[in-house]
Amino acid sequence: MSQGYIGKRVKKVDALDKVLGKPLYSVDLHQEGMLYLKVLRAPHPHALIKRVDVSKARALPGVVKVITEADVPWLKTYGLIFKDQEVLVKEKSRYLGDRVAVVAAEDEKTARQAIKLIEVDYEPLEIITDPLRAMEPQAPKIHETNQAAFEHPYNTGNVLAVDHLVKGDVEKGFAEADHIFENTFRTQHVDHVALEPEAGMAEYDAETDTYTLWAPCQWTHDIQTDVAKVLGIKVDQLKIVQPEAMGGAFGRREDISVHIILPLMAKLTGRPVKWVMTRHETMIMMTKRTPMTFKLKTGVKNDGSITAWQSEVIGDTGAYASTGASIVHQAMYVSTGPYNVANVKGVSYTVYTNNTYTGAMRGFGATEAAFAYDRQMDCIARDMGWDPAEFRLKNAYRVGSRTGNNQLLTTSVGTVDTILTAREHFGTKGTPSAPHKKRGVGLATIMFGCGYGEGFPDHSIAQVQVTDEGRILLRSAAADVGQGVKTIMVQIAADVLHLPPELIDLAVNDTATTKNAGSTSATRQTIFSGNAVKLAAENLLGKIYHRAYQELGRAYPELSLAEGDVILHGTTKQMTLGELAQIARAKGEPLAAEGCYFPRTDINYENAQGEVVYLTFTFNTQYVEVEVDTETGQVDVLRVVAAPDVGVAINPAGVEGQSEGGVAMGMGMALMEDQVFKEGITLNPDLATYLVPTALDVPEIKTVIVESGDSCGPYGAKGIGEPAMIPTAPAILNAIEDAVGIRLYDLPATPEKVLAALKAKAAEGGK
Amino acid sequence: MTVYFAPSALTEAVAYKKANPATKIIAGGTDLLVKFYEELDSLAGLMDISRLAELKVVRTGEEVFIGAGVTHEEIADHPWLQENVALLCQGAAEVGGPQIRNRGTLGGNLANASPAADLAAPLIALGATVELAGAQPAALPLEDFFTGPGQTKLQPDQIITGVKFARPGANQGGAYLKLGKRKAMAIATASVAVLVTLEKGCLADLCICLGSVAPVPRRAKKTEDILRGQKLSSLDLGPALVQLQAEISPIDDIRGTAQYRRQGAEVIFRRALLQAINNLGVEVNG
Ligand SMILES: Cc1cc2nc3c(=O)[nH]c(=O)nc-3n(C[C@H](O)[C@H](O)[C@H](O)COP(=O)(O)OP(=O)(O)OC[C@H]3O[C@@H](n4cnc5c(N)ncnc54)[C@H](O)[C@@H]3O)c2cc1C
Repeated sequence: MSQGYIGKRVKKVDALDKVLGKPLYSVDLHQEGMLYLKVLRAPHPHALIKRVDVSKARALPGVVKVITEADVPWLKTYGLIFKDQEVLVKEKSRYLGDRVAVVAAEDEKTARQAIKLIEVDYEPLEIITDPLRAMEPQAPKIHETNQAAFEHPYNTGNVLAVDHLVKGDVEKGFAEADHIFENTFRTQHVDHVALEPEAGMAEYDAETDTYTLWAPCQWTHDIQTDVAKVLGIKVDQLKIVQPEAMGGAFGRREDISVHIILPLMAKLTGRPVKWVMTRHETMIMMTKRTPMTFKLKTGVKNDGSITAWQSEVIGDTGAYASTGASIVHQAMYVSTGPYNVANVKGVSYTVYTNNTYTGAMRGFGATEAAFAYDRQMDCIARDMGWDPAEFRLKNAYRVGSRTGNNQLLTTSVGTVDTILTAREHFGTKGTPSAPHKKRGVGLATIMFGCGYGEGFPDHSIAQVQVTDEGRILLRSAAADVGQGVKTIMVQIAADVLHLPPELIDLAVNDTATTKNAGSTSATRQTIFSGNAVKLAAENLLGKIYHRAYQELGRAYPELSLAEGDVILHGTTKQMTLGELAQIARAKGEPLAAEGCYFPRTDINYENAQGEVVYLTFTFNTQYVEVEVDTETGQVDVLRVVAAPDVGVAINPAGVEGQSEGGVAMGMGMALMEDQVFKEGITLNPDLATYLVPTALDVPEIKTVIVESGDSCGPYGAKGIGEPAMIPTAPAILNAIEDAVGIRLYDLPATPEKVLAALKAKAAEGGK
Repeated sequence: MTVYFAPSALTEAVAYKKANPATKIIAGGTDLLVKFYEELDSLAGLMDISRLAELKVVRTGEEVFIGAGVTHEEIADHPWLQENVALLCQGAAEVGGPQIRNRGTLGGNLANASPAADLAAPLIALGATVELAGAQPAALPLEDFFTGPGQTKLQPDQIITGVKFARPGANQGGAYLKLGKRKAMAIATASVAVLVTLEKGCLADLCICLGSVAPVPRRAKKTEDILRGQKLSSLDLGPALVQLQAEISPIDDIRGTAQYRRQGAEVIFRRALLQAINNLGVEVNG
C-alpha cells in the first residue's frame, strides 16, 4: 500500500536547478591547463589506409600530441556485444566516422588546424550501402574476421547474425487461413538528436596510475569495464563520474563515444583533456536507429482471427555491430505485436554495410517492428472490410494469451483497455479546413517487453542510509537522462520511509561509490532501480524500527515515523532520525541498507521460445487525426490521443512527459527524419537539413493513463520510456491511408512520397 | 587575428569598407556565423553594422523605404506594412523561428542571396530597387541584383542601405506562399510571390516571382504575359501553368527533387494568384 507519494505529481527533483541553469553538462566542464582533442575521421567510407603522415600536424605550435594506430598498437578492440571496433583504424576504414588520428592541442582552434595538416593516402574499395548487396557471396567482406560465422545461405562474412523464431506450425496455420496478406515495410536511419553532443573530460594521476572520466553514460559500470579492457587496466583504475546533467540519450549513450580516447589521451599527455564533438561529427559517426526491411505474411480466417504469421527481417547494422544484432532479432521476435497468433515463424539477418553504424534507439527493434505489424494489421482490416479498431480488439492479447516467444501472459495485460480508452477519448474526426485537404484517423496498438529479457543477467542495486543530520542519502548508479528516474527513486524512498521527498538527497553518481544499476534503457529503470530502492528503503525502515525499539524500549505498533522523527505513541517521547542514526553508528550498526532487484528471464535461442522472455509488458494505443494536402502531399498531424498502460503511474506527470516527447519523436520518424546516404556519405549531417518536428508541427497531445496494475515493478508499475513513441509512426501512416486511400510502406512519409502515391492512385483510377 | 569594428555612422562604415574591402559585413549574423562556423578566425575582419541608425529606418507613404538593418520581426509586426504590403510581412513571418526573425535583417537576407530568401520574392514582386552606399550611392532593380546562388552585383566597397518601392494601389493585391518540409525553421522547397493589379474585372497587370526553383529568385515574365489582360470571369490558368514550368529550372537536392519542386511551385503559384485576387475582395476560381 502506498503511503502518499506514489501516483502523485511530485515535482521533478532536478527541475528547479535545471531551470536556473545550475547543473553542469559535459560541455561545461573545465579544468586549468586542460588540452582540447580533435579527431581525424576516415576520408572514405571503405578504403585501405596506405599511409598516414602526421609530421606537419606535430610540428604546428600549440600541438601537444598526435597519435595514430601505430602509436597505440596495444589497444584492444571494443563493442557492446561483438568487439569489432578499433579505437583507431589500422588497415582500413569501414565507414566515414572511423578514427584515423587524434590531436591534443592547447586550444580547439589549433587542434582543428592540426587535423587539416594530416595527410592520408588511401585506396578506395567498393562501398557497400545496400544490405542485399552485402549479403551476396561475391561482395567484399567489410570485416575480414567476422566473429559470427554462421551456417546459413547468406554466409558471406557480412552477415553478423541470423536468428530464428518458431512457434507452432506456420504452414499448418496458413493452410487454415481463408486469406493471405503479404507486404514489405521499410524503416530508415534516424538520429537520436540529443541536444547535447557527445562530450567529456578526463584526467590521469600518474602517482596512483588512475584515471577519472566525466562523460554521460546510460550505464556507467558497463562502460567502465569495457574501457578498462581496451586500455588494459583494472576496473578500479578508472573512475567514471556521471555529469550532473545529461542533454538526452535515447539509447545512444549506451555506446562508447568519447570514453576511451579521453582517458587514453589524458595519460599520453599527462594533462587533463576535453573533447566536444561537433553536431556534424555526431551525425556521421554515432549510432543510428537500425534501418530494417520486414517481409510479412499473415494468414487470416473469414472470422478475422489470425492463424499464421511469417516474418523475415533484414537489418542494416552499418559498419559495426554495437547492439545491432539484438535489435534486429528483437524486432523479429515481436513482429506479431500484441496480437494472438498460434503459428509464427521468423528469421532475421543483421548485416554489415559501410553506412553509419547503428545501435540502441528508443524501442530497440520494437519501434521498427510496430511500424510493420501495425501497418500490416491496418491493411488487413481495410482489405477485409473490418473497422481497424474492431479488428485489433478481436485479436488483441488478453490474460492467457501467449506471445510470439510463447510467454504466457498472466497479469497486467491492458491491451484492450488501451484501445477502448484511446477510442473513447478521441471521439470523431473533424471536417477538412480547405477543399483540397482531406482528414483521416489512424490508430496503432503496441506492446513492449520491459527489461533486457532473453535470459540476460539484469539487475539494479541501490543503497540508502540515514545521515547524522537525519536526512536520507540515496545512492544509485541509475542514469537520469532527463526521463526522471531520480524523482521516481526519491518518491519511492519517501513513500516507504514516511518522509517528505525534500529530506532525501541523491549521492554523486560515480562508479567508485555506487553499485551497478544496469542501463537506462529497455524501459527498465522504474522497474529495476525502483524495486531496488524500495527493497533498500524497506530494509532501512526495518533497521530504524529495530534501533528505535532498542533505544525507546517499545516495539511496533507503539512506534511511528513522521516527518523525520520517531514517535512513541501515548507519550511525549520522541527522537529525531539523526539522533537515532548517531547512536546506531556509535554502536557499530549504522542505519544503512541495500536493495537488489535481480529477476530471472529465459529464452531458447534455437526457436526463441521461453517461459519469461521479458519481465512484463507495457501496452500503448494512440489515435491520430491527420489532414493531408492532396495537392502538395503535406501531412498535418492535428491531434493525438495516447493511452499507455503503465501498470501504475508512480508519477503521472512523468508518464505524460514521456508520452508527449515520445509522440513528437514518433512524428519525426513518421514524416521527416531520415539520414540520407549517398555512397556511404551522409548528405544531411546537420540540423538545417536533417529535420525534426518543431513546436509548431507537434499538435495537442492528450495522454490518458491506463493502469492495469499488478506488474512486477514497484507498486505494480511498468515502464513508459520507449513504448511512448512506438505507436506514433504506424498510427500516422494508417491515418494517411484513411484520409486519402494511399498505402505507404516506407518511412518517412515525406510530402514527395505522399504526392507521388496520390498521383499513382489517380493514374490507376483513370485507367 | 580577426579585426572587429563597429561604426556608429554610415559615412564611417563606407569609409572603413573602402579602406578594408576584405572585411566582412556582419548584421544579425544568422547567415554569416553559420557559414563560418568553426572558421571565424579565418576572416580578415568583421564590420558590425548593427549600430547604424540610418539602416533601421522604415519610411512609409507613397514611396516606401525599409532600411537594411530592419529585422524580419520588425517587418512582420509593422502595422502599416501589414495593411499595405501584406505579402512582404508574410515573407518576413516565414523566416526561421522567433530567434532568427529577431536577429536576421533585410540587408543580410538580400546580400546572402539564397535562391530561397524569403524577402527576395515579395520585394521583387513589389518592383523594389535596392539602394547601395559606396564611393557613389547607387540603386538598381532588385530583380537584377542577384547573379547566382550566393552571388550579387554588390561591390566589395558597397553596403546595402535598404530597399525602396511604391506603395501598392487600392486595386493591387498580393500574396506570398512557401512550401517547406515543416512548419517553422524550414528553408523553402519552393516559394512564390504574386502582386496583381485589377481593373474593370480584368487582371490588368501582375508580377510573379518564384524562389528555390532557379539559381536566383526568378520572375516568371512570360507567364505574366499570358495572364495579363485576362478577364477574371473567364480566367484560364492552364496555359500559364504550362508556361510557368518553362520558366523555372529547379534542381534535386536534400530539400526536394526537381520534380517535386515543379509540382509544388505550380500548386502554390495557383493558390497565391487566387489569394492575391481574393484579397481584393474579388472571388475567382481557377
Ligand atoms: C536557423 C536558421 C533559419 C533560417 N531560416 C530562414 C528562412 O526561413 N528564410 C530565409 O530567407 N532565411 C533564413 N535564414 C537565413 C538568415 O536568417 C536570413 O537570410 C537573414 O535575413 C540574414 O540576415 P543577417 O542580418 O543575420 O545577415 P548576416 O549573417 O549578418 O549577413 C549575411 C551576409 O550578408 C552580408 N550583409 C549583411 N548586411 C549587409 C548589408 N547591409 N550590406 C551588404 N552586405 C550585408 C554579410 O556580409 C553576409 O555575407 C535562416 C538562418 C538560420 C540560422
